[in-house]
Amino acid sequence: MRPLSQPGKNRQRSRYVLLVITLLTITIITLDARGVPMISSARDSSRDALAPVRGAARWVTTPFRNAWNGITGYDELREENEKLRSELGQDTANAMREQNAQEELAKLKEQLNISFLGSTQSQIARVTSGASSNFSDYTVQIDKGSELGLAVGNPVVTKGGLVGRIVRVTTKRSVVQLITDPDFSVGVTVGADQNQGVGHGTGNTRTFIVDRGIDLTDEVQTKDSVFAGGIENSIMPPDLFIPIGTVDKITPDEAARVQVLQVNYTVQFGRLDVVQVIKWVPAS
Amino acid sequence: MNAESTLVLRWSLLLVMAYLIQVGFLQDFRPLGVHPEIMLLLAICAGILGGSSRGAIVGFFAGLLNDLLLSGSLGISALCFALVGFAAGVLEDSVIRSSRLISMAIAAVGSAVGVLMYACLSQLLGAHSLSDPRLWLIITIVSVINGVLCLAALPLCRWAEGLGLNSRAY
Repeated sequence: MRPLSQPGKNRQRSRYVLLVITLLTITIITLDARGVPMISSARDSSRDALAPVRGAARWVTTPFRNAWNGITGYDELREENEKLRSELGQDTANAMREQNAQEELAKLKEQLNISFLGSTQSQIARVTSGASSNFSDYTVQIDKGSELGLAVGNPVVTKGGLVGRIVRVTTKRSVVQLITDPDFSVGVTVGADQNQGVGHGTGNTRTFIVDRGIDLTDEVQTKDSVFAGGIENSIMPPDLFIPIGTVDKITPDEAARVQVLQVNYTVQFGRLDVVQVIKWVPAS
Repeated sequence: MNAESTLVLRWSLLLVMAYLIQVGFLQDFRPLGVHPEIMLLLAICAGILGGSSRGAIVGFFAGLLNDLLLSGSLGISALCFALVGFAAGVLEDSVIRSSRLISMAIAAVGSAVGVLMYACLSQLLGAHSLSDPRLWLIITIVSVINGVLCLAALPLCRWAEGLGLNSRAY
C-alpha cells in the first residue's frame, strides 16, 4: 500500500509539480495556437514517427477489431453471410481476389477521371483514419504529405465533389478539414445564373447551408447545382467548378434580405476511401 | 539501475503499451459510438496509487501522447489529464480506507470530469466539443467503461509503481 503522505513536505511538492505542469501545458497550448514553427514541426515529426506504430498496432489488433465489428454489426454480418453463402458455389477464391483487385482499380480509376478537374495538377490519396476523438472534429487523415507536393489549403475532392481542404501537412500525411465542419466557409456559385454566395457546413454529413449573398431577387430553384470555386480570391480555385451538392430547400430571410439555401451533399462522407488532392493553394 | 529510473522506465513502458492499445484497438471499440479513454484512466490510476504528483506527471505525458492522436490544439489533453491525475491523488489521500469500489468510483468520476474539462478547454480554443449534442453520452460511456477498466488497469499501475502486482493497494 502507498505510504501515508507526509502532510507538509509532500503536499508542498505536489503543488509545486502541479504548478510547473500547468504552466508548461499552458505554454504548449499557447505556442501551438499561435502556430510557432518549433512546436508545429515537433508535433508533425512525432505524428510521422508514430504513424507506422499506429499502423502496426492496428495490424496486430485486426482479429480483435474484426471480432468486435462482428459482434456489433451482427445483423449486417448475418445478411452478408447469407448473401455470400448463396454465392459460394459460383465464386472461387481466385475470382474473389481478382474481383477485389478490380474494385480497388475501379475506385482509383474513378478518381482519375474526375471531369471537373480538367488538366489541374492533383494527387490521389487514401483516407487512413477518421476521427480519433470522441467529439466530432470534422477531420480525416490521408496518406500523402508534403513530400508529394501537398500543402495547407489544397482542396480535396472525390468524383462526387468537394470533400474539404488540407489544414495540416507532415512529410507523409495530411489532415483534411471536412466541408461538413460548421467552421468551414466557402464561396459558392448557384444555378445556371451563377449567383454567388457563401455557405458553410452544419456539422452533419447531409446538409450544407448557403446563408449569405443570395439576394431575394436572385433566381434559384430546388435541384439547382451548387459549386465551390469560380470566384476570385476564394479558398477554392477560381477556374474550377467543384460540385458541393444540389439545392433541397429555399427559405427567404426577410430580415437579412437573402435566400437561405439548404443543400444536399453529392459526396457520401460515410464512404470516403480514395480522394484526390488538387495542388492549388489560395493566394493568401 | 536505481529505484527512480526503474520507476520512470516502468511508467514509460506502461504509457507506450496503453497508447498502442488505444490506437490499435480501442479507437474502433465504440459502444454507442464512443471509445474508452485509457490514457485518461492511466493518469487517474497513477494518482490513486502514486499520489497527486505521480498522477499529474503521468497525466501530463499520457495527455501529450493523446494530443498527438487528435487534430485539436496540442496540450489540452495534457493539461486535463494532469489536473485529473492530481485530483485523483488528492481524493485518494482524503479517503481513510481505500477499497476497490472507491477506486472505481474515483476512476469513473475522474473520467467524467476529465472529458468535461477537455470539452470546455477545446471549446475555448474554437472547437465545438461543448456544444456537441453527444457530450453527455460521451461523458457517461467513458466514465462507466473507465470505472470498469480500472480493475484491470490498477494491477498494471501497481507494477509500474513498484508495489507488486498482488499488493492490496487500491
